[in-house]
Amino acid sequence: MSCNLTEKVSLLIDGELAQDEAEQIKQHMASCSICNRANEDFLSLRQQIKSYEFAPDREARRQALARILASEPVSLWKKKLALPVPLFAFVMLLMMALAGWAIFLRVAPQPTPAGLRPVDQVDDAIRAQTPQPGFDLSRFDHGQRAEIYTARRTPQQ
Amino acid sequence: MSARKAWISALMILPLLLTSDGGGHSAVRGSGKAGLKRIKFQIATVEEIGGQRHVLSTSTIEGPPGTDFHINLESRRFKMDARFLTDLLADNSLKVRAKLETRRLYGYSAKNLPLYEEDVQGQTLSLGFEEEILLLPFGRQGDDRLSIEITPVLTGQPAYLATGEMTPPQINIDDQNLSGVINIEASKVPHAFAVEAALLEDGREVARSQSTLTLEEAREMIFEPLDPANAELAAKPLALNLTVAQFTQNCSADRMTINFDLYHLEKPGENGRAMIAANWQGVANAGADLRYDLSKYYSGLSGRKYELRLNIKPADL
Repeated sequence: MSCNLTEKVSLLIDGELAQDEAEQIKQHMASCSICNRANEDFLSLRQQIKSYEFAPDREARRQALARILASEPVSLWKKKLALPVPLFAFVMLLMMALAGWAIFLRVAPQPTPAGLRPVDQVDDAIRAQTPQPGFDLSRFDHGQRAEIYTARRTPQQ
Repeated sequence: MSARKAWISALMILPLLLTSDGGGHSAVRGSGKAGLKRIKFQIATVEEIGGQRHVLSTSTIEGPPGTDFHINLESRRFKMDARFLTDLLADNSLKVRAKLETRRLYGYSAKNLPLYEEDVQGQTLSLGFEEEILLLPFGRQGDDRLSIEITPVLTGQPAYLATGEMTPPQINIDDQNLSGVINIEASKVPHAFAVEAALLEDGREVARSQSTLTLEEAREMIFEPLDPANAELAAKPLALNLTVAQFTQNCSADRMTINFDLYHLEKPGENGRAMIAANWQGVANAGADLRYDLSKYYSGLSGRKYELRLNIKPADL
């Protein structure tokens, strides 16, 4: 048992029908027991909803709030950061440039302070200007301090 | 070969110029010198490459006990002056005071001025005749290492002739592959000096002290008041910290360059000092009085004029 105008009854109750159509539905309800019954059910339901008194349970509300606030925090590793693709690409390029610069600083020779030229850089000029002795001692020179001590005679002597 | 001979001759001349031990004190005054033997120092310059030794040059210095020598090493970037003052001790061992001065070319400034790294170190070594001195001009690190081995040998040759004349030091270059790089010099000068110090009050000696000093070694001399009743000097003894820094000879006189501090000891036997004269210097002729006017610095309780009188001369040990 059904009537295809039952939905119109609901619209009539909500005041959403034009006046002509509303008159037609009212006339139909007078002759259609199904729609008439539906009209009564809708009105009854509306009345029940309107008559319902919201009496919040303070204890229940407190518990619900506690559950919300006590929800388990998300760890740093599970947090996600949403970035626009252009911004992400820019950050990646910046990091690669910094890494390249750091490697360059480590590999490149250190500049000497205040225009100082280490002797290695002028060694050729010195060689050209000064007469060379027959024996070059520079291969023994590792910048260490001279030492002197006593020892038992070496067997070679 | 002729160049080598010229080089050896040049090295021989220098020690001969320095060998005279000064007029009066060169003679043997005590019987202790009669038995002294000459000491030979064998000097070998050795390069070690991967544990393999290669002798670059050998030389010997021979002279009476107390012969001093220098070893100079000079190359394009590096210069070393190693000076050795040697003394034969009573127990037939050697006391060697070594002073190393190195100078290494580090680089050039923005104004193209050379910058050097300099180092000075001194050590007093005690060694027997079964030991040797190892000098490493560039330290001991690295695969290529240069070492100068100095081996003392007590010879059977007398250090002094029967006439009392000292036999002069000698340098022999046995093998010279380092011509122009290594130079050796030797000399014999007194190492011991007899010092008499006196405090004069208005020209009258009121306190004195005497001691024997070793060349380049400071010694504290405490003045003893001649009058035991001198309460001030007894309560606060006067002391002299004296060093004979250098001995030089020329045809007219032997001279000693000295420096000293003069101070009061606050209490006998304690370390407290009240300085009267700090780092005073002078040049004394051997055996001649050297006077310092202390009027501006020391007047004692009496307000009189005080002088310090020093008399220094080489001493035979």
